[in-house]
Amino acid sequence: MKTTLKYGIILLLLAGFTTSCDDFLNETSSAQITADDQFKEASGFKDALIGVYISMTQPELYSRDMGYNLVDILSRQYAPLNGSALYSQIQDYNYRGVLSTSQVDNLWIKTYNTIANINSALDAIDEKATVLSDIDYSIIKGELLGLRAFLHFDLMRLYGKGDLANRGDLAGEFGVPYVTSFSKDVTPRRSYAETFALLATDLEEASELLKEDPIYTEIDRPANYYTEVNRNGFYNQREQRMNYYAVKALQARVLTWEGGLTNLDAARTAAEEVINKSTAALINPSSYAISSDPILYPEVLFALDVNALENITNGFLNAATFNTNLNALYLDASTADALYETSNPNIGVADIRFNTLLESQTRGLVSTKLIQKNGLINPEKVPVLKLPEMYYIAAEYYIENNQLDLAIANLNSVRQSRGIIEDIAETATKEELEEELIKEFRKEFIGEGQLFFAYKRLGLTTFPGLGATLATDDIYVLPIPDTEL
Amino acid sequence: MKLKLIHFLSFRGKDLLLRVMRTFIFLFCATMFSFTPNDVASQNVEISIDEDKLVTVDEVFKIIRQQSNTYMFIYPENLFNSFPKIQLKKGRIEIDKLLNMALSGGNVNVSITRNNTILIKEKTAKEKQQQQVSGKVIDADGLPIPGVNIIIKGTKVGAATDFNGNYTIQVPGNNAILIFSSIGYMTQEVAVNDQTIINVTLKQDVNELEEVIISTGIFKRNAESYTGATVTIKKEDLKRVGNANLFQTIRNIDPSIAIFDNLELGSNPNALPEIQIRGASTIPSEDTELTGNLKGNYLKNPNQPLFILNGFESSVEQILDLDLNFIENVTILKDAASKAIYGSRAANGVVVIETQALGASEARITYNGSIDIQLPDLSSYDLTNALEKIEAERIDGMYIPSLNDADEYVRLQQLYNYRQKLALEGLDTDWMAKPLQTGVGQRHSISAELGADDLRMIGSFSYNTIEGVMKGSGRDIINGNLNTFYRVKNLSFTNRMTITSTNAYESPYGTFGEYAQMNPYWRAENADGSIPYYAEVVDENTKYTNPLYNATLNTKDEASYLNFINNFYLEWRIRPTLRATTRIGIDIKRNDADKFLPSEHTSFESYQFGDALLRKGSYQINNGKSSRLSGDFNLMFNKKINKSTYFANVGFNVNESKYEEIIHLAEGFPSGRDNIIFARDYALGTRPTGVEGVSREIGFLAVGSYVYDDRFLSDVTLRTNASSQFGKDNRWANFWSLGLGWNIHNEAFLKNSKVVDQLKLRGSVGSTGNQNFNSNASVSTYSYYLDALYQGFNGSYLDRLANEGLQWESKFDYNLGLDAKIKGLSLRFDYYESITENLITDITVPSSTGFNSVKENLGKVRNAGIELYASYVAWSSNQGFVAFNFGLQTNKNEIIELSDALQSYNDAAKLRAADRGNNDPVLIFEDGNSLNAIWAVPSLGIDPATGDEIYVDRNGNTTFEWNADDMIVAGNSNPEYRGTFGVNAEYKGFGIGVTGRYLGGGQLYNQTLVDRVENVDMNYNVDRRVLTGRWLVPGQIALYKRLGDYNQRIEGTSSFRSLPEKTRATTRFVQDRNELDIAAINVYYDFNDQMLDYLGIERLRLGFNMNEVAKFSTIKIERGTDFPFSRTLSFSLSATF
Repeated sequence: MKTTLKYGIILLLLAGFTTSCDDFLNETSSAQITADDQFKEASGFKDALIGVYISMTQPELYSRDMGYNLVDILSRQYAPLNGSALYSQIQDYNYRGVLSTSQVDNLWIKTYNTIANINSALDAIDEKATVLSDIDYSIIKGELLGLRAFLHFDLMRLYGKGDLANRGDLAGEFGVPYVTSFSKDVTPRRSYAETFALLATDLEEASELLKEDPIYTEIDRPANYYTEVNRNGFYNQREQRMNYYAVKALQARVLTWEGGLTNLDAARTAAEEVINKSTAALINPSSYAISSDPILYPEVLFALDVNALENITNGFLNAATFNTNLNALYLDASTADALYETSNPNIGVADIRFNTLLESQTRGLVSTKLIQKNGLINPEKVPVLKLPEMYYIAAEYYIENNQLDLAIANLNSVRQSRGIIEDIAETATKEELEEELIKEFRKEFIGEGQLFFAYKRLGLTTFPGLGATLATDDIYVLPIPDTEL
Repeated sequence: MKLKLIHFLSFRGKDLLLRVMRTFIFLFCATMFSFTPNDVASQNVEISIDEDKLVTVDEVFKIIRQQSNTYMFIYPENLFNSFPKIQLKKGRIEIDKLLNMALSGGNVNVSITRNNTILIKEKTAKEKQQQQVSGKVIDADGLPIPGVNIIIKGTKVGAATDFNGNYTIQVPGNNAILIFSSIGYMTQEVAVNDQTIINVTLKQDVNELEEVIISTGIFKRNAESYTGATVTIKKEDLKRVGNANLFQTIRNIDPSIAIFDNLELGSNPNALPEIQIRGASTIPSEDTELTGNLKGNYLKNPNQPLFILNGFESSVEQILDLDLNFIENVTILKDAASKAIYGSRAANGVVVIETQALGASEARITYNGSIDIQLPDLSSYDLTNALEKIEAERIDGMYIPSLNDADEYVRLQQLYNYRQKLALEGLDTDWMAKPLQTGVGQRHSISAELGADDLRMIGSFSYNTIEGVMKGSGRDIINGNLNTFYRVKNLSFTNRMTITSTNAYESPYGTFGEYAQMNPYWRAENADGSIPYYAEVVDENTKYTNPLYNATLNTKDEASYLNFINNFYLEWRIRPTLRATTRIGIDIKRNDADKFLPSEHTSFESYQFGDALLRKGSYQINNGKSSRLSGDFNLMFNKKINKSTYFANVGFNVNESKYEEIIHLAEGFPSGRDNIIFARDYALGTRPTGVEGVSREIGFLAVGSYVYDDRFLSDVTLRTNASSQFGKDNRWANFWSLGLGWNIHNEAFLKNSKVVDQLKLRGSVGSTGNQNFNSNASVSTYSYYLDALYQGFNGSYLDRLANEGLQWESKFDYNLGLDAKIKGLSLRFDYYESITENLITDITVPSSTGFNSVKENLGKVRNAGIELYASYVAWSSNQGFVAFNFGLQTNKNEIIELSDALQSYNDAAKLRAADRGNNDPVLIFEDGNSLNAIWAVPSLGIDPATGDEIYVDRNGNTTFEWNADDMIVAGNSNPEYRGTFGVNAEYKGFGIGVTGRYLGGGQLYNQTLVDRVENVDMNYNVDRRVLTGRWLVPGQIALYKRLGDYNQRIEGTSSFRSLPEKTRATTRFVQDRNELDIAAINVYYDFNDQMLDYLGIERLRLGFNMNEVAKFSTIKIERGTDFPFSRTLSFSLSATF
């Protein structure tokens, strides 16, 4: 008896020690998925990636504030908001008002939260590469890197200074933190030069990896190359994800923001690759069912799939009732007339952006692009990168490089696809072309969240709707949250 | 062995049956008996021996005669010349024992006559046919036991062992049986047969040791040589101060245990108490969204102590449902020296509870029964009656239209007249009485013990039904225990099995507040006794529902659980000095709750149109289970070598606990169908939710103690443990303690003092940890978006920013104590200081990390105070005693380093305080202030001209503007001191005890004045003070201000709504709180032996208890808003057969 017990106790002790303490203590509840568990399987990476896109569709980001609402309000493209409207302080460039503070800060917080999600997956992807097939690894990592660059770039465009090309002294100044790993350690703010370098690195790596993207057709692949990995359609509709051409388009955007002829040239190269090689193409205004597809889906390089977009947009894109919807975003008839040059029937009235993509409501003209109604071919999509911008980037380089004919050709391509009958004359001067380009920005970017950035990039000191105020960094640069300082 | 047992059982069984029958006859015919107090105690008169000495028999008689003149001795001269001398020990001894000792050495017969004459004669020749037996008595460790009484069974003849444990006794023939007994040891019987040398080993009986034994839950220590600051409460002491549950009684004994009155839930029998020992050491969790974010998802209250029940961790609920009759003792470990053995769980103190020990080796049945009556205590309410209320409404302008509208004026005047008429006709509904009752609960517990030395069992069963003062509220607790003990050689097995089943019912009447707010001129019942749905219908848009109507419906709000606990203990005495114990505990619990509101319930009054009509009726169902598996192994060494005593314990433990609970909320019920399967749908916007958690822990322990000469004491504890709750980088933490003590009373200069029995100085220092926080703040976890898909795929997201370096909060305790027993006065004094470091707080991080905050170890909180406990036996004799006791505890709590990290929290709190719709003070944590500071803007009172409140801003100027930055620390909700006092007396079996509690030196924000007087909703009933105190006209000097409205933006829109402005935190409502409670009155009677012998009962006691008898307070505040407080009366009977 005594010996049995002795052995019993020894066994018990051994059992206690041989079970690895660490394994024993690593237990967490099954209602909680630890990062380790999440990335044990390929599906975990896919879920995390999809989570990033869902995060980007939040109203504080691309389904509202980073698109037709907050950043477009900053460009003063809409009729002035009533002083009681939710975004009236934003319109007044009062970034630290009672309401605007959280509106401005939320944008920052939600974007960095999305970046944290990206980084958490990126931190794991190389360590756990074995759970992923090569194709999965390349595309998922490529998408994540592309998205990281995309989000950081928008933060830099919003919270950093503009017109960098003409303000060489800024290169050493601090922009925004470029966060490359998920941790509680604080990432310091980086200089503009460093940020551009980091953006370039991420974009370069992303574009290399995304050569595996089914949308990239430069490589000949066997017919069933994607059959296995795309069993459940995970790699369908690449234009709704950060695809190869979206990365290229983003590269073009970033290089243009950096400015200078060399960068503009590189931007043009990227833009022309997108124009020439991607499946996206400008629509034909006479044959395309524009009113059923106001976002012009064939031109989309990257659009987000937003659940219940109707609930988010329709409160803002509604000027039908008189005065009760203070937040309505619309253009006064006179502003629209001036913008689209309706005095010239060959330009204004013919422009689909005027005659179809704007809708006349009681109080004014509302952009129809994101109004969700029955019969839409591509409902619940919010484009964030579209083809016309690539033409503009190419045109901008040619203007700067005095290849005016090429610039005119690019601009006319867009004009023609918009139904404008009157081309820009071959005789147009550089200054005239610069003006035409900005006009195009104003016409094309309605409700797309790009106009403010165009003004800011070009360092315009004034723009329509601004009145006598001078557009300086006070207007162009949004304050970063207090917690960041 | 087996045969013997069966024989034993059958014999005892018959006897038992007889006794039970006798008892029943007694119980039913109790009034027929008349008790004649009989001085049976005369044989038990005690003689005191002032020092150890060797005396002759003649000298013994001399001593007896000196101390008691009741006795006369008659004996032949020189009879005792041949008798051996007797060794007397210092202390008190009963006369008959003394006589036995004195006369054991010779052949004499002793008889005592009625008039206390003691006749001693030499034995006859026949009687002298005796046999001499001698031997040695030793203990389990082989050491001799002096002073063991040896008695020949059936006679009063006996002997005692000398200092070396040797004895000699003359026995009359070889069929005699010797009984060996000594205090602290188990009595043993030995048949003489033909033996002439009988050596006996007596087993220690821990429960009967006269010395105080401290149970730490892992090992036991002798209080004499222990340096920790502990309080041990015995069963009898617990019963003396209340009989409802452990928490209610323990607060009446030790003031350092603060059990907070729940001003909302009052005396709801199902409310779990909030407990703290020696103050709050970490940020309290509060049920607001703000602090919820700060520290909300604690598994347990962050300041809650650890409960150890029979060696294993236990929950508050389990302790609440424990039958007091089964509790053997409670030990509270307060300082580092005593609690460090529990390492990372011990920072808030440890309460060690032991239930029924396996004591007697003879069959015994104990019954405890009581009837518990709860009476509602509404003394804190002071509401208007019907006429006063109507007058208050009139004064308030309720019957004058705001616009000059003649029709409206007429309508309002009609309403006034209508109500006035009702009131004058005598309608004055006592709404508060409607949902209340006198709760009559009962409790029965019975336990049966049987067995012999090596196999003992105790089975017990208890049934307790508590009725709350709200009709239909209550709690039924059924509890069964089976404890078995079995010993083979030096191995002993103990198994404790407990099954508890509890049903908790909430009142179908709803909350008490719904009734307290009803206007007395409203009708609860129609003239015909039916209960209307509306208490008053003013017009189509203004209707007031009658909460009493809900009681007529088939509502259901109940919860239940079934808990199974099985603890197994294995002890192996390897050597007399070395012992190994293994313990394995399993604790499995399943709980569920149902809350059903039928569609006719008044809470669905607003569901009037369209879809809402289909949503009437709701059902919430909770299903949960939890389990805990723990085991430990300890090796204990204890040896005395010369003057040195060594004690050591090493061990390790493993724990795992899991819990999960799933909640479904459904709505839309056909009338009265009280089953969730009749629901139309999940409640709008809900889906199944739940909580789940698991935590694991491993720990190692080493304890050492060295005592020199019973004078110099030392204790050292080293503990290391790891938990899955902590970050990977910081998984193991070490805790330690050191205690030193000096038994001054054992020093030569005091050793022979007749005044000082004990004088002990002790001190300790050490660290422990607190891990009552969310189990996975240290790892990053993912969740899934439940309401969105992207391209038809699911997405997941990070929940939080993980801190892999997160570790437990650690607490440093310093304790200095003094124990003294001087004559009848015992005194315990402690000074303590503790510093909690590494507070787990959410600190703000730059949002570029992706999150706004991360849990971090930061900040320090200091608690300091004194504890004093004194008891004084003013008079005592064998007839009874009178004793007084007094306890005092002070606590001061201060944040040392914290506020910087909590800047954003404090800002948010101030923002909330500044909200015009807010009327509660907020908690702000700033260095140098208490965690319990009450923050408010200084007020000069109400401006008689405008009716607005005049504030003082931070620059000392007066202003009408309330500004959060002007807030100052206006008080402290933690009383500076609290304590207990009591008197207990017993005389000839009658006992009485009165216990009181007091507290003071703190403040309270009088929310009643804010909610029921100043920010009152005049549509409902109000506090009487409304009539007198509110500002109405310019020039009026008033206590309560004029009220206004403010505009609030409707979330996400551009429109505003107008809301009544609330009174924000102001010093006007910070009031001093000094309280005195008569907490318990206890009266009992123990039946005397003669009576008991007649009934065949070993012990019988009748008792009467009153709890929460009266309360005196300097602050008038409504207590028990959802459920009233109650006073309890209880009649109890306890009998042992």
